[in-house]
Amino acid sequence: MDEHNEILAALVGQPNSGKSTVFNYLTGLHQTVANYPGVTVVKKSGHYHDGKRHIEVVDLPGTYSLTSYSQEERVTRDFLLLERPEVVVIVIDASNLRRHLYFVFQLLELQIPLVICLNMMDIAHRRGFSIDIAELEKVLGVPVIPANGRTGEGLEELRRQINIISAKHDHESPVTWKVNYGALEPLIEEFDKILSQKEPLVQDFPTRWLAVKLLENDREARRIIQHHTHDKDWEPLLESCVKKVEDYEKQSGDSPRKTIASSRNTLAETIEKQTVQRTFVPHRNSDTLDLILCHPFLGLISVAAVMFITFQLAFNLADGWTWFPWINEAGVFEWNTPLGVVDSIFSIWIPALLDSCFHLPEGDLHSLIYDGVIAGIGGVLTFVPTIFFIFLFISILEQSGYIARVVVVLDRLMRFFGLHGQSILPMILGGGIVGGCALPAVMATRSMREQRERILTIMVVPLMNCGAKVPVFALLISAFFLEYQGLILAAIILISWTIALIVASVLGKLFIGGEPSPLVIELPTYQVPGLRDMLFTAGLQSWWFVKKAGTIILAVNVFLWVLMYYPRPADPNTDAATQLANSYAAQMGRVFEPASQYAGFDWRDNVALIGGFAAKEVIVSTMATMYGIETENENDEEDNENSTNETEIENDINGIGSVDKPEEENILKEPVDVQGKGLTMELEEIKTDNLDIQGKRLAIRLRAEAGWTPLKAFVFILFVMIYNPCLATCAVIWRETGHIKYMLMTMAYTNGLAFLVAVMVYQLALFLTGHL
Amino acid sequence: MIANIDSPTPEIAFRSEKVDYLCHFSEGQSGTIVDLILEPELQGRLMGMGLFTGTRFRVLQGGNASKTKPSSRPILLAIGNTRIAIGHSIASKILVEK
Repeated sequence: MDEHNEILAALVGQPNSGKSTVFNYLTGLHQTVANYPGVTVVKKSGHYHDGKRHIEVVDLPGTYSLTSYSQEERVTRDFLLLERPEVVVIVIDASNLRRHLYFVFQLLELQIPLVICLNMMDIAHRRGFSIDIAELEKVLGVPVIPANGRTGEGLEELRRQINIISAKHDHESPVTWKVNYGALEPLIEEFDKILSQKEPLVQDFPTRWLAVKLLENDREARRIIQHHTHDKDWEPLLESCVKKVEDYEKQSGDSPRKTIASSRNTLAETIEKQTVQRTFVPHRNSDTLDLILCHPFLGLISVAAVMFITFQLAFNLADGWTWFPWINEAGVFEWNTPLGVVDSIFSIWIPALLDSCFHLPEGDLHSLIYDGVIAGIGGVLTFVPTIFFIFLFISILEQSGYIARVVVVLDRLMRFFGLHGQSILPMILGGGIVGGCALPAVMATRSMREQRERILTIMVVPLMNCGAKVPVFALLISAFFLEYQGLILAAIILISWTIALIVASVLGKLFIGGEPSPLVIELPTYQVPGLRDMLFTAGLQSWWFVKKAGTIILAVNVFLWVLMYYPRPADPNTDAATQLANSYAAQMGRVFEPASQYAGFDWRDNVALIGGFAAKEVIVSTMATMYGIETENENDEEDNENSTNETEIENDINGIGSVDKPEEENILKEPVDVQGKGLTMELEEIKTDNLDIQGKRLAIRLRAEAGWTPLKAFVFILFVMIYNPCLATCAVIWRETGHIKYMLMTMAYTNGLAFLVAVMVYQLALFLTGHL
Repeated sequence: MIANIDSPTPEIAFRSEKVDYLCHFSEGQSGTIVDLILEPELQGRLMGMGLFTGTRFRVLQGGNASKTKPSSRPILLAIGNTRIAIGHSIASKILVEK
């Protein structure tokens, strides 16, 4: 392909300007997400074709200005200066022209080929604004395209302009545009003259822009000058600049930075008056709505209600309500959950298909393909329905403008622990009310602009009680705390939140550093979210998860399969429990036993916990294998040894003593001590959904085991609550933060803290009860 | 005007009795921004949001005129068509005129 057919276009704009919607329209599904090197700022890029031309579009982070103080600003400015895109599209809010012009001027001063996308024209019209586009183009000297990103109106014209500008850029210089900075002009001209004599600086950067930046005391501008001049003659230049800035401040009583900002604002005001007419001023209903949604008390109730509804809808649509049409393994039409469908594909359909095509004999290869690869891919894809629906609802909350209101309401509370008002959403999605998923919750932090708080939130989200931990809790509550189910569940929620908030506070102070960002947030206009954009965002997030995190998760699943499958026993008839007892995983379990015994865990518990590294769902099934529940079905003689004891316990657990009903219906039917509506629902789930028959048998077996006591069960719950996030979440933490160190830090502190808490609680309880 | 940026409550020689910190404004009150006594990053961000010296605003919510026990709630400002929420720590460093 010809070099000139490869076009690099950058998309810039202030937050809430509708930049992402424009980006989605331009690039469609051809998008990738990564991190800029060395920072946690997300880099979104995509491409489209225009005839023979391949246009690469980079969606730069939303910023309010082009100073160099925040990561986003530095990333944006460095990209524009160093990558030299052929076209820069600035997306601005037509209903807020003056404010956005302030940003436009900063880009014009960079002398880059610019196109203005005047977005949200529909809102501007609704607010009574009439904009003279031709006059605006004339004044600014660059193309201005009126558009509505949500409907796509004007965006084809934007594509056409990108093509025109990029073609011009091959042989024409972009427009030179100046803001008059009044009293500072002599100084700017003086520095501009000096800088324009410096090679190779003059070839790479607009010297007037650098002169203005020097007067603004911009660190990056000073660095550019130091790095792009041949000798040390930058030293007297910078010294002279400092002195002249001081002199100016003494004379005028104000800093050059304020003078520069004020000049830009005045010019923006002038251009607005020249190009915008307001025909009417409509009543603003959003202010009335904000009185409720941002109110300290009513706002909290709204947040709780919205979060609860969002959470319920997302998880029920993914794996609660059977609404998805499906043909089951018997060839009969049924309604299933999307997650059930994925599970059915990987646990039934694909193995059946492989069986019928290849007839693989039982053995290593069979187990690798069925238990390692297919189960691994299935494990990855079962997250997809949840991710899709969670992001669908997050997209609704973001596009509607509600997320900013949540930040305002919760900021004071969350800030106390070093977090951000927006941290609440990922924490609830991660299982703040028991039963979420940490993986999409970590991904949901993308909308947080403050990097410090974002990293802290990512690191504490795994402490919430995701849906995969619930079967473990259900198992142990059923076995040991049947009479106190509500109390224990409430304690689990309370303890996990307490630990998460304390950990956030400690990590923020000791490891992440920096001060919590003060609250400054724009409350965007309320809007009805666009269906196309919502579905698009949810679909893309799901795809990125499969493409990026999925590969890592699959590899780790296969590795864990190796640990639990090898070495193979000499006797092929060896049962699963014996095989697992001799596996590498079991050997690791025994290695940890000298330490874990202080928390009351033996090697079998350790093996289950090691399995939980892959996914917490594995803990119960591994324990079932370790405690011989699978063998029990096959070996009645062995079963009989404990049968009397277990029947008594089973009756005890059932509370009704009946053996006539099927076991699934009998077990755990004791009336629930209702603590509140939320808890009742959770308890209902625990009783009916979260323990399968194997889990119920295991609950009975654990209660009969000598080593298992209510104390050990409680400590085990605490350990599972805190210890290592599942490896899928680890992979996403790495990808989202752009640094392996945050993943390692999360793994280190969760495991360390889990062990510490477990040992302390276990030993303290033994001491207090006189058993130590 | 003498301002010490590092101090939580900058020592300001007020030009008139009308000048006060934004955190002392109450709901419904309007004013003009006199000065942003903030570190450059925050100054830059606020200016990008449209808060300049001379900008007119109205407090929509969260204000509290009490100087002895000011509210620590975020303050919601209306600046033209823009709505901005500002934390109390920043509002206590923005000088405004009634």
